[in-house]
Amino acid sequence: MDLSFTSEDCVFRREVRAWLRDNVPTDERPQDFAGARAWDMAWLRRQFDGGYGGIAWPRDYGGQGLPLVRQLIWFEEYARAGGPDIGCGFVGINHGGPTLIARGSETQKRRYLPKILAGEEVWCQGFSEPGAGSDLASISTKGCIEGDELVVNGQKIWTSYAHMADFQELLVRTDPESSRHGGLTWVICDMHSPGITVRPITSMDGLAEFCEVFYDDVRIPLDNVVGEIGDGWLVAMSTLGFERGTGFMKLQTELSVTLERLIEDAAKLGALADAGIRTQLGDLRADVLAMRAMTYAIVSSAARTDVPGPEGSIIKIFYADLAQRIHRTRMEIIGVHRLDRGGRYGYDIGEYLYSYANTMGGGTSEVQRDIVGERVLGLPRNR
Amino acid sequence: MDFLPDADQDALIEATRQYIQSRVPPNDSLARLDDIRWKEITELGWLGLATEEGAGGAGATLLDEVFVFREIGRGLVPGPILATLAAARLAAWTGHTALSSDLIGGQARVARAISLPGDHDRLLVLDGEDSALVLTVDGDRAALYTTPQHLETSAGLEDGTSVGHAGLADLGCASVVADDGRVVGRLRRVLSILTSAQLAGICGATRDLATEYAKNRVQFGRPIGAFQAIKHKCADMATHALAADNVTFFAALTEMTGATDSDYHALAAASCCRRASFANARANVQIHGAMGFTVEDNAHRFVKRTHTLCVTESFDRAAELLGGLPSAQTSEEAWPRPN
Repeated sequence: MDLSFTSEDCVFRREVRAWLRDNVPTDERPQDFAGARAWDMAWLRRQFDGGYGGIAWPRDYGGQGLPLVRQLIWFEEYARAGGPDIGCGFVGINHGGPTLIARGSETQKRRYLPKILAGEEVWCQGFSEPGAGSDLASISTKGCIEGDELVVNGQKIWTSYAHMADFQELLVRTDPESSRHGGLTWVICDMHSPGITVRPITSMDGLAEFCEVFYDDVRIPLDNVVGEIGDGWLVAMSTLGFERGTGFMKLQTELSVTLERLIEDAAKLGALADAGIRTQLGDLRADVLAMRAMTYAIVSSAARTDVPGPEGSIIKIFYADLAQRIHRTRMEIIGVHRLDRGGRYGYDIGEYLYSYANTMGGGTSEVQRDIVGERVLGLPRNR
Repeated sequence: MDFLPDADQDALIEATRQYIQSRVPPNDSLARLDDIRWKEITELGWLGLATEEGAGGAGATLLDEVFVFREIGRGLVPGPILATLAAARLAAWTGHTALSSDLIGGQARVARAISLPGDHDRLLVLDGEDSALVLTVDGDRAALYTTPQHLETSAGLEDGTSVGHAGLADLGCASVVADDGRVVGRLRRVLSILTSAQLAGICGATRDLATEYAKNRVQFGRPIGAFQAIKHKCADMATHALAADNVTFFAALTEMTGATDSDYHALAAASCCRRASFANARANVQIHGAMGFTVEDNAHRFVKRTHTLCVTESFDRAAELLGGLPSAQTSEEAWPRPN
């Protein structure tokens, strides 16, 4: 067990720090969809051109082919340099891409991965449906095989960035006789295909980042199927494994930065004189360090085994609860300012409101607790 | 960077667990270690793994001690192992190498005295009966005294134990004193990190015991672990245990670099492990139902041990202290703040 970084890692960290200092965008991200997309993609492109696109992705597909620990260093420096949220690049970088690396065909990898890294194409996720949320296996959007095409009809929901996306990781039921986990297929859907309608949904923080998507006889080539037809559940699970596992590298450093800024604000506002507030902040600091330590453990584990295991669900439960506690404490500390959305703490208020999604997005904390109970602890299934 | 135990560390964990299972099993409810067992644990090196070899130690690392103390917590092994280890470390760091070697070799046990709130002259002495010496760690001063011959005692919180009562004046002159803030701070961090390790062990033990019970106890025709009310409690216990383990490892590894005098990481482990251990110990009682309320099950002992550990090292104040510190200097290198 070793917490130290090699001298090569330290050199890499210094290079990354210098590069980020010179390159992190300082202009404001536009509010309109097209402008926001262009801004997000330009920033991805800049990272790619700087040699930092896909740090742990294979070199054959545009990545840097470096060990996961370099990716961890990148995220730590990125958060501390105040790097912007990844925006509409999220799905491609954090799960579409990794899923293709794990399960895609050679052709698919060569076609899609470099364009994700270069900021040329935006991806979105099409898993949840109005009738298939926590119970994801009850998906009913149909994909009928006609010749060498899949004809898709149905509806998806909570699809982040669908209104900006070029492609979607789409989970459909291809075997009409099947139910539950069998008979599903994971397919790459071109979002510009005829028959697709997208309706953005405004969330409680005021942003409209996720959408409903309707499919009316949308035709997708069978070549776009990732894994085998009927094998979609396993492909989807590997996707969620990435989201719940190594995806926490970036989130944990962001939490740390958020908390330290909160403590500075608390000092300015005079709140640190209160022993109760100091205790709350100390508990949060302790848990942020625990989050960091657990992330190091899962990164070490993923470096040994390649695919993250169900332990990622433990970190997801911990992270979601911790993030919400930090944002609640933030509201408590800014006091009356919290009523002034347009004032100097407006950003904090937005983050607080967004934090309600932490215990839902990527699988509710209740479902995560089922997964931990059944797949980590081996308790009997409840259904 | 590899944040998982290596093969040697796994072997140390396994050997420690096996020794405890065979010689000090939790179900025997030993309130003290007899002289034979005390000799055995010195042969295993428990009292000086990370003390330098010239002072009777094994020259291993604080992390190795963390692995051992996690098992001690898990197995509810009675004291005064940590106080004796800390006394030996204090002796070694203040040039009393012969005393350090004697303590590590099992020549004498060391009790721990803690001040009562509001009256720093009144002391509560833990494990005083078998101990020739008493360790105090208060403010910027750590010291070893000869145990007073006639200690007034009363029943202790943990079943079968007693606590001694003494005035500071009863202790007489200290035989070893450290009043260098750096030495005392370092000693306090060792005590704190190895106490966190024991709490992490309690978190793991209670998670496992509750889960096992939930798999076997049948009500309404099903194992109770099939119900989400129980399953989710077990999942939360697993979450607490994973956090407690890893934050303690992080604190130990940071302390081992010697790069900082900051208490930041040790306090973080203390705050996290304290909450995790209380939560898990409580949940374990509840999942065992009425059985958990009886002394026929061990559940109550994890609650009591958690209180003992947290009170002895003032863990209830850890979060407040941590909240008032400047931000952490990390082990790899200090990060500049973005503008």
